[in-house]
Amino acid sequence: MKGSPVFKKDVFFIVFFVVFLIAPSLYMAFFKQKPPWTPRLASHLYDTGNLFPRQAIQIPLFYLQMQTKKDGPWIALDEREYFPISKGLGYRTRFSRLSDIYLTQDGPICAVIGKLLADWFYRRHHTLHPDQLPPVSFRILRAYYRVGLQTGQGGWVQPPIGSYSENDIEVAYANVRA
Amino acid sequence: MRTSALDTFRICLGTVMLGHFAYLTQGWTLAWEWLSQTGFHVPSTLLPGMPVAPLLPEALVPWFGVLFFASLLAWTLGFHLRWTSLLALFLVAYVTWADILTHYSINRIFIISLTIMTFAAWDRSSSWPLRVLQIFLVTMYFVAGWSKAVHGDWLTSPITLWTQLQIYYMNSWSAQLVQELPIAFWKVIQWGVVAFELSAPVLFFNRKFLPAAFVLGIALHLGIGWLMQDVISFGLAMLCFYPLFIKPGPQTKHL
Repeated sequence: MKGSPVFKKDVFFIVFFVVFLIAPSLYMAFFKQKPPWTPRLASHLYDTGNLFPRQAIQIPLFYLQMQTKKDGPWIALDEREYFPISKGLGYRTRFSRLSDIYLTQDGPICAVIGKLLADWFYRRHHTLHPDQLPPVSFRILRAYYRVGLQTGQGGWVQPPIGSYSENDIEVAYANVRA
Repeated sequence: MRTSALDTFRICLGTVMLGHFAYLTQGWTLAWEWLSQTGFHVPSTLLPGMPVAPLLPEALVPWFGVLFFASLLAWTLGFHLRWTSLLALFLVAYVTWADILTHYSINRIFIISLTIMTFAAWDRSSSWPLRVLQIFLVTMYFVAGWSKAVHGDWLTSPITLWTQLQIYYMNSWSAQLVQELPIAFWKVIQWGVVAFELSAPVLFFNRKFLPAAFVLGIALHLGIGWLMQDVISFGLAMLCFYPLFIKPGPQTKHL
């Protein structure tokens, strides 16, 4: 009933959530910016609906490689050994997600993440393979994959780096161990 | 006493959360990579404006898992709701903010829903939680449609859906259908999805259109679940909101 304490409480909470949840979500969708009136730490909660927005004729995929000798051959690493596959991530790994967010374009962020990843990789590789020669360098390749080459059987399988033409591969980050 | 719409929502969403987190972490076996220093983590300095939770010591990860799933299960079953909703909210927020690399839109839906349900558990005499959750659902649809139509190319490119079905989430069904069905078919589906999402506020809040909203929404989420490998939990989480729109019968206890 209008004017009752329950009614006033209902109105208060509905207005509260409209101001701090609904309106920010709409603002974010309309202007592609964080809503200025919301707490900074909550602002990432408002981006809930931006899935698969554009066509994907060609997408960047990433590959890890290392050298165990200076000027030696680059050895392909099995990403899944360092970042286990999760079916819940579309048969991909946390590295796939990391590269989608930070490594798709060259720039300072790509370089910083690449360096952090290289430092982590050297430690992790030593933990997993203490008996092997330690890597002296590490790099991340970015290869441009054209959609339509998968069979769809058994979930996503990243194609081998050898399946690309040279023009479709570039070095996203390279690190020589100090 | 009959189950209220909010109880149905809680049981449904809790079940989806339990299944989602168990599947994402492959029965908690990936949790070490996710929540401890075992895995690679993006430092907080590169995440401005994002809350970043501290990581767990490796020895605590299994115990944390027990607490995490026990609290979600207790909340789902309606056990001491005031406290289990608070605990479940805290723990889901923690796993979301401990690792940006496993943080998806579905986590945000869980956090927002748990926040509203926590308020609701402490105030069971009001009807606002039902209304806010209803408005939240239609806002998510509208925003998704807007993003596709205005910021994306769903209305201008005929091959957006056709190409999206052929990457990470392609399964044997979609692999076959993208070959056999003409581009025009996928274009019509694209437009239909955008039309449904943009008209969700009208469809869901008008009793006359509600059956159509349910049929179209269920078809959309089941279609995604059918044609995209292992992308079912997002759709199931969205479908949990649907019982909130069903008008209670005369004997149903109103919250």
